[in-house]
Amino acid sequence: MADTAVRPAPAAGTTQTASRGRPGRRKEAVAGYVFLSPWLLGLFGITLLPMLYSLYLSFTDYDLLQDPEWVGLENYERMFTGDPQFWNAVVATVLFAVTSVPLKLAVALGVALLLYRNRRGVGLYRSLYYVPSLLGGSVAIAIVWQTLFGGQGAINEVLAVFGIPTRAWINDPSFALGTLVVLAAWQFGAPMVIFLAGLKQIPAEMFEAAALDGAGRFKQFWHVTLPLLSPVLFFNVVLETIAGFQGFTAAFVISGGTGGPADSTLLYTVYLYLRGFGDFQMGYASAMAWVFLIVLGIITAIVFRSGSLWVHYADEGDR
Amino acid sequence: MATTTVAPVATAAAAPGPVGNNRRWYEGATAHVVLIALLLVALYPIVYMIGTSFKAPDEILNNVNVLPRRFSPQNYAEGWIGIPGVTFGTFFLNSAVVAAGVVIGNVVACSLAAFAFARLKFPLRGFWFAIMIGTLLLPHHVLIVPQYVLFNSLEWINTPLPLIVPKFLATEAFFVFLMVQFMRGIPRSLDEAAEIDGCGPYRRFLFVVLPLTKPALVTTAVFSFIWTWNDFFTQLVYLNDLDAYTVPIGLRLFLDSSGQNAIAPMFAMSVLSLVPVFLFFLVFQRLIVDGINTSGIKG
Amino acid sequence: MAILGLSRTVRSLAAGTAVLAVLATAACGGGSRASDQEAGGPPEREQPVQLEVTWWGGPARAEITQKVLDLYTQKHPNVTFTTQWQGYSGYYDKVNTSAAGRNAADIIQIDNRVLREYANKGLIAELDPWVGSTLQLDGIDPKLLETGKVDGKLYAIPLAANTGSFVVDKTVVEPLGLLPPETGWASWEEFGEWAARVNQATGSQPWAFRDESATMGAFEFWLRQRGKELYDGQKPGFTVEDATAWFEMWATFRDSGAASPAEVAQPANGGDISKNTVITQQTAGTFSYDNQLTEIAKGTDHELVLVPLPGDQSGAYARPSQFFTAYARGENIATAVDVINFFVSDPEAGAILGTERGLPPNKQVRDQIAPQFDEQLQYVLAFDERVTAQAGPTPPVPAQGDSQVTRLLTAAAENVGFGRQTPAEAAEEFVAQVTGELERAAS
Repeated sequence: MADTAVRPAPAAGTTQTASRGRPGRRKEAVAGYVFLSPWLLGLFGITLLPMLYSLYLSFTDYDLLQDPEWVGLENYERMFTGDPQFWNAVVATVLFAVTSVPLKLAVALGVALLLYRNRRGVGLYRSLYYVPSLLGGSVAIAIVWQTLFGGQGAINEVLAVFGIPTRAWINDPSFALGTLVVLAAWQFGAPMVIFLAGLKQIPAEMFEAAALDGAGRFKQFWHVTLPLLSPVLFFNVVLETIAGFQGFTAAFVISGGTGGPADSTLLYTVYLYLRGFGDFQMGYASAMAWVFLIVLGIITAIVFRSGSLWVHYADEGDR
Repeated sequence: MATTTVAPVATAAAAPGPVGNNRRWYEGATAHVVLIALLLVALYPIVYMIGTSFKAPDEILNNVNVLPRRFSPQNYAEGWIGIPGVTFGTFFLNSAVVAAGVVIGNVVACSLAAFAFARLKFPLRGFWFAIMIGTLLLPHHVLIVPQYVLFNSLEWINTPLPLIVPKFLATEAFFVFLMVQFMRGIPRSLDEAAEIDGCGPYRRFLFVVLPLTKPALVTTAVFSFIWTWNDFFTQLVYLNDLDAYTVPIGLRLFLDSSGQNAIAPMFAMSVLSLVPVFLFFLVFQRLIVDGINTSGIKG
Repeated sequence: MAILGLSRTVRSLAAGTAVLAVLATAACGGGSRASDQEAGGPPEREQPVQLEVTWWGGPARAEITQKVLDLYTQKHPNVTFTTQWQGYSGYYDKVNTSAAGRNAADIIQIDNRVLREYANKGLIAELDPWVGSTLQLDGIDPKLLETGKVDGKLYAIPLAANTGSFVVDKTVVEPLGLLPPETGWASWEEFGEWAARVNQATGSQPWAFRDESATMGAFEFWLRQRGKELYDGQKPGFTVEDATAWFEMWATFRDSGAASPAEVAQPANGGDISKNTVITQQTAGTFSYDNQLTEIAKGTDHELVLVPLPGDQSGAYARPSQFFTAYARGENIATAVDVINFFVSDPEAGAILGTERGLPPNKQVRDQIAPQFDEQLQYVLAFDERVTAQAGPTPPVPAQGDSQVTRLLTAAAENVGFGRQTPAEAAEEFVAQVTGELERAAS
């Protein structure tokens, strides 16, 4: 980065005139960096340099007890060709994200629409629906989930009423991930609150105009609500997608730290943890982390790109 | 970088919404029925958790109703004793210490950075701002390995330091962003008035902007507390000794080490662990929801 | 505010260099405090010493271990202890993490799964210098003591010996007239038939036996009956055919109802006593190490019996159930060694420990305290001696990477159990991965 040398600030005590003269501007620039310095220190010390170190480590074999040993691309090779568990983790994570994110957002939007059109008690509903989001990421809820969906859990009793055969949901590889998806979708309160706020912003005239044109409820939704809601929707999609790929706590606690049964809940972050902090293969874990970062970056970029196609900013004309 | 157009929530005056056919009374009723049903389903796990925490140990796997047959508050006493050697009191204390540190760190550091971004002009401001937004999208798992190595060499492992110190360096971009958005909403005229009176940027920050940013500060504090209290991954990585454990890890250890008979006390402690979060929520409900709206995000 | 005079770039460079410097020192090993101590020196008797002890187990084990430590403090008031314990699953994660942080406990309980690895990585101290002085090991069966040696050097002291067994819920099977013979079944087929009959009688409430296809102890026993060992140096000692036969056998058991479905067995695959299926009354039998009877019996009010594993007992061996080791970077290794010696040689300590971890390794201690044992401990003792009398030769210390192999076996077994792979497919993948892991671990 080009650096413009910053001259020392004028001696303290001199009165500043209101004019943004050279000394004033300089002082402000300096002040800017002073205020920014903790963040900058954090950025380099805690974020950027560790990132670079992580890149270096990804090419080594490092167990923290002995020095890192350069192994070149071996970690990456092993990851893609010699490690079936890696692919299990990828599949589990993609499956989880692809099912839980749309589900969560659909429920959030649906409930927001319901709440929005029926104004009584919105505040109360909103707060109550939000509680699962508040508590959902905790170990406590994961423990409850494990018991609820276990072989002798309450969910089985409830489902039995509907004639659904009982099974140990969390111990069966075909369904274990499903329990995590349900847990994720259960926390729809947070995106719902955002949708509600977005809905409130839509001016009533839009609907009136559409109604005058003879548009029915559904058409109003499709042609008025959805487009005007698209920035908020986009925002939620981005954030939930990123969060969806990073799930850890529930998968870890419910599977007892194994990603089981049979790797069905072995989310990428869980596998990364197991390799990095369980086996202390820190070089390999770093390689995994970089792959994760790149893939997540690509996915985010794709979502952003797609955004330009369907997101409609109401005030675009003013920009 | 696209930003959303969601502005701070303004209380809606009229009731906008799809207009047209007069809403028949039963439509409203149906909607309410659906909403309440969904609410029951949504709150069921929590109610179940509370109810089960009061069940006698042999009831846990037999009685799947929410309400206990025999009210057994002793689960809480038993659970509190926790694992031989360490009581849950220690876990709560540790969590409180970490949470307090994080809250202070975030409030102080993020407000400093936010002020710089929102109010001061300096070279490359836009560049740094873009980078900050970029770090919002950075998965922290990428950094955990090298950060661990770093903190290990500083001999900070097993202390709350790796959890607290980074917060003093404004590493939670989310709050910086939140405060920036908020500060941008404060009229510049106040700043300018102060400037004319001879206040430099430092005094402007302390005496003009910061007091007006209080709602955002409180929101930051509340979210910081809630997220830290529930944080599992980083605490799992950095805290190894039993007496350094925080509530999430202590709870999980309890889960792994206890026999079948300990499910009830475990549930009791689970409920207890969520109480602080829930209390914060009750008190700051309004702020939390507004905070989400102002900058939009995760719960 | 001199810092304002620095340009932004210089400031960020300074921050960066500081961090890099720190990171660089991370890569270099720290100095060993242990080198200050004399290997073979006497334990500290005057200065106050605090030692940290860590082990895995359940609350029962925690209680008695604490008692022994308290007893030691009584005899040597200058030594106090802090303790860390937890369930088996995740135990080594914790030890590894603390070792990486250069602050592992002074006394670490391990099993033979990680002995070679820890010895090779210099995590645990070589104990030979103290043999004869602080360590009085004459009473310990030399074959058992051998199991604590890696390449001839003593690194770990066996705390106890145990052997694999099947635990059967007598309260469930006796009323059905299906109590297994005390000497066990003559073959695995016979076992399968017995279990199938039990399951028919109970109507799968509970299941007759837990699916043990993921259990390393059972697999090793079965392999040894075929004349093979788990490891041949740093290579697997078994073939794809062996593994396939193992998985197929359990598949047959599951089909006949002799063994529980995979989903019932799965939670206990991590080795945690708290998930033991006999305790949860989901099965009428499960594999267990004989000393675990104490802990299991605590978890259920049913009466339990120990039965030898099916077939000829050459598969069994006197297994070091746990070792105590001394952290190589500890500050008071000599004192730590003395505490370890106390655990295995002191009759009072032996009386407290009972057979919870296994049989006392020290024959003198064992003879002295056996009469004081309660019925249950006597029962376990008798069982163990009976079985190990017919045991085969002690296998060599497991290869480095053994803990991975355990994980791989679980994964393969679960894949077969849940129908995601055929026994042949799982066996092939299993052997290939084991070979790979062992190779990698050795390099």
